Amino acid sequence: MLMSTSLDTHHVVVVLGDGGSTDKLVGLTNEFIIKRGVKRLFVHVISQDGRPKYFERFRNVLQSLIHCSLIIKYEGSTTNDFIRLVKSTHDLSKLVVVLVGEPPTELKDFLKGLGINYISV
Amino acid sequence: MPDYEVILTSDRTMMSNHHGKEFLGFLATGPAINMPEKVWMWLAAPKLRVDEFGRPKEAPYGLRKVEAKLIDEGFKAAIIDPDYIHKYLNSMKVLMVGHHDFFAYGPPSIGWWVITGKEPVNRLSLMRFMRSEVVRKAKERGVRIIVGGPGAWQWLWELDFWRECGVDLVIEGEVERVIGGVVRKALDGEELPDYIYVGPSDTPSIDEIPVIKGGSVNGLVEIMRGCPRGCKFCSVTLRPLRFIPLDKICEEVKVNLRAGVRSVILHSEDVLLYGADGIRPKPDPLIKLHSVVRGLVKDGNIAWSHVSLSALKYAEENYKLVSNIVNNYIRVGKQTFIGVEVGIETGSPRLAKIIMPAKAAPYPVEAWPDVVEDAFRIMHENYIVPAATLILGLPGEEPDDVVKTAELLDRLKPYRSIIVPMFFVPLGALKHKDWFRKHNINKEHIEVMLRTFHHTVYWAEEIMEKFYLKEPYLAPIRLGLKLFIQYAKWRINKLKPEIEALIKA
Repeated sequence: MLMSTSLDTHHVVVVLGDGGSTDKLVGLTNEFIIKRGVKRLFVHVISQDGRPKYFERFRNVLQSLIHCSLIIKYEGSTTNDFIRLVKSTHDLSKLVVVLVGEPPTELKDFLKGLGINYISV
Repeated sequence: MPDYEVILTSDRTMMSNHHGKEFLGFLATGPAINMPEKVWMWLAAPKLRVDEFGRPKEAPYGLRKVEAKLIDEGFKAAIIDPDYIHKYLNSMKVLMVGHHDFFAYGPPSIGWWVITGKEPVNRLSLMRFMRSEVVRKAKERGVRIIVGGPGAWQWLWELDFWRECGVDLVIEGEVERVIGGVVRKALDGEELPDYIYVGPSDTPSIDEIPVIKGGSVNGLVEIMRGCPRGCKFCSVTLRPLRFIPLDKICEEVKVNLRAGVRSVILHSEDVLLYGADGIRPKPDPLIKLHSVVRGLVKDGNIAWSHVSLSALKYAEENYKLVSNIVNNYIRVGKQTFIGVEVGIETGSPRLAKIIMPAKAAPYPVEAWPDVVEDAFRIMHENYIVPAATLILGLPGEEPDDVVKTAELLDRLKPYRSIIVPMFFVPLGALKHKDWFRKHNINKEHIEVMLRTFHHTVYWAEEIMEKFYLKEPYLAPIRLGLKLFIQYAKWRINKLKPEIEALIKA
C-alpha cells in the first residue's frame, strides 16, 4: 500500500537549511528515481519554514516528478526532530539524506557520527 | 439522521448540474461579467436537489467514485451538499473536499482571470466555502480535512490559505487503491502526510475501480481511463490505458436512472477510442456501447465528453462510423444533436510535432490543419456540436505558430462550433515549465483571441436556439446568455481602436 513502509517505498530525508537552491535537487531526484527504478518515494522534510510553507522551496521538485507516487511529510524544524526521525529508521543503510543549503553543524556531526552519507546541494 | 463519519463535498460550482446542461458549467470558470455574482452563479451553478439528509440526487463523478470506494471498504461515508454539512458536525470525523479547479489556476479559468483581471467565481465560491462557519467549526472539533481531485496540485500555490483552513492532507491522482488506508489513518487519529501524489504504479486496475452508488452530474459515466496519444501538455495521458467493461458502464447508467437522471454523458479523453486498436477506432465496441446505452436511456440524451478530431475523421472515412452512431443511436426520439469537447490546441504543424506528435495519428502530424477542418466538416454534417479549445503560450511557441492557428480559424468559419482559447498551464509532462502570463500576450495572440470571439458569438445564438438550450424552461438562461453576448460584442467594439493599435504595434 502506498503509505506503508513497504520494500517498494524509498525513503528520503530532505533538510531545507539556510540558503541553497532546490533546483539541483530536481535533477538529483530524477536521477535517483530512474537509476533505482523507484515507484514510490516518501520524502520526509525538515525545515524551519514550517508546514505547509516549506512547499514554497520544494514544489519545483514535485512539479518535475510525474512517474512515481509521492508522499511528502513534514517532520519538524530542529536537529532533534531530525535525530528522532533518523533513529526511528529501521535500516540506516537504505536511508538517503539530502541537505539543501547550510544545515546546523550539529546535524552534520550527528550524521558523521553514525557514518551516514549525505548529499549536499 | 445518519451518523456519517466521513463527509465528501465540494463548493456550489461543483455541486450543481448546471440546469442539466454540462457545458453551462464552464460559466463557473469565469468571473461575473456585467452582472451580480449571484445572477452569474444562478446561470452557471444552481443548487442541486437533495433529500432530507442533504444527500444530492447528482454529485460530481469523481466524488462518487471515492464515496463508493469508501462505502465498499466499510466506512460510514456519504456525499453531502455543502448547505447541509452543518447537520453532521457531531458525527463527522473526516471532511473530504474534491474539486477539479480549486483556485482557478486550471484552463480555461486562468485565461479568463488574466484577460478580465477578475477572479473567476469557482475560486471565489471554493474559498468562501473553506472559510465558512461550518468548516471552521469542524476544524475546531478536530475534524481532519482532506482535499483532492485533479485540481489538488493548486494547493501548492496557496500555502497561506492551506494553513488558514487547517487542511491536513492534499491528495492527487487516481486514489481508489489508497484512499481507504488514508481515511483509516485519519479516523484513527494517526499522523497524515501533507501531500500524496498517486503515480502510475499505484493506479487502480479495472477490478479496483468501484461502481458509483449515487447519481452523477448529468449522468456522466466513464468508459475508459488514460489516453495513448502522449500529448505533452496533458496529465491524463500519463495514466495507463484501461477500458471499462460494458457491464460496469451499464451498471452505472442504471444507478443514474434509478436516481432520476435520464441523460448519459459517456466520459473518456477520446470516446471514439473505446475498445480501439491503438489509436484506430473499431466499429464493433463503439456500436455495441451506443446500442446498449441507448437501450437503457431510451428517450434520454446521450452526450460525449471528449473526442479527438483525428479519431473522428478516421472513424467516418473508414467505416462511416460517426454517421452510423449519430443516426442510429443519438438522433433518435427527441434528441437532435450531440455535444462534445474537442482539442484543436494549435494550427501549426511545426508546434504540433513538438507538443503533440500523435494527436493527428494515424494521419501525419504535418496534415494536422486538414485533419481539423475535415473533422469539423464531419461534425457539422452530423449535428455534432463541438466546444473546441486552443492553447496559447505553449512552450516552444513562435509567432508564426500563432499565425497558423489564426489561419486555421478562418478555415473553420463555416462550421457550427464554439471555440475557446486557453492559456498554457504547466501540466502533464510540461509540469515544470513556465505559465503563460499577461505580459506574454502578443499581437498574434490577440488576433487569435479576436477570431475565436467572433466565431463563437456568430454561432452561439444558433446553437442556443436550435440545439443546446432550446427547451422552453431554459428561456431565462437563453435570455441571460444573449444579454451577456450582446454586452461582450459591445465591449469588444468599444475596445476596437485600442485592440487595432496593439495589433499594428
